[in-house]
Amino acid sequence: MKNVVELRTQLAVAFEGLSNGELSSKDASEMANLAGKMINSAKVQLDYHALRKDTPSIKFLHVEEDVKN
Amino acid sequence: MAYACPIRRRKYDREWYQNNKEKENERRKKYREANKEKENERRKKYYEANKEELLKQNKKYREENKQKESERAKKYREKNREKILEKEKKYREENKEKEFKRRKKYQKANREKISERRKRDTENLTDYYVVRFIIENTNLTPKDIPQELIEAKRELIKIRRFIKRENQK
Repeated sequence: MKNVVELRTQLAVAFEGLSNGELSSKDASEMANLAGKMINSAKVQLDYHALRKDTPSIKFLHVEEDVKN
Repeated sequence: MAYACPIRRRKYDREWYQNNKEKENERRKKYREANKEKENERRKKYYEANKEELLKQNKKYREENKQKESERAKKYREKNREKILEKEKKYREENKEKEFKRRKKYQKANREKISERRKRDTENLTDYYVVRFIIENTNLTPKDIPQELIEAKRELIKIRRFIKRENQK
């Protein structure tokens, strides 16, 4: 999970797996824990830039999604 | 051409204006631009002197042209969104006490509506609800949060809710 879009996709897949029983609650919980930490770290970075009043350039957040025709 | 009779004079002036509309409007515009302060003062004076009548006229017009007025207001809000938000923010900061009272009054009068809206936001995991989660205990504002982060957080909340429900069974 190199960026926030991949993280979102993975979480969506995990939720799907959790709903149809392919993923156990324990595994999903571990994943959610990790994802929570990633989101919080992005949040801290955003907060840091907001306090400095500058424009953040966070690789993890700035992703251009490929558009498939 | 000088007319002694005021009625004839007025008729002449009106005709002259009709025949020289563009030229006259241009002249008036130029005059207004060159005498901004004087013009503002004149308008202010006129408004104060005819306040009631003007308010009555405006109200009547708005009532008779509801659709047109609503579209105009909408267009204005869209065009001046940033300016309006900034103005509202400034007002809130300058009138904290008044705003606090107004909010309290609104909350008291609309308890059910607010509660329903919160419930709906919680159930549907709206952007508003998720953003609140992200910005709590930070100096961030909703517009600092990228949409992708909101969507990731939404998926995370869905998973956590599911696990919580499972554990409660």
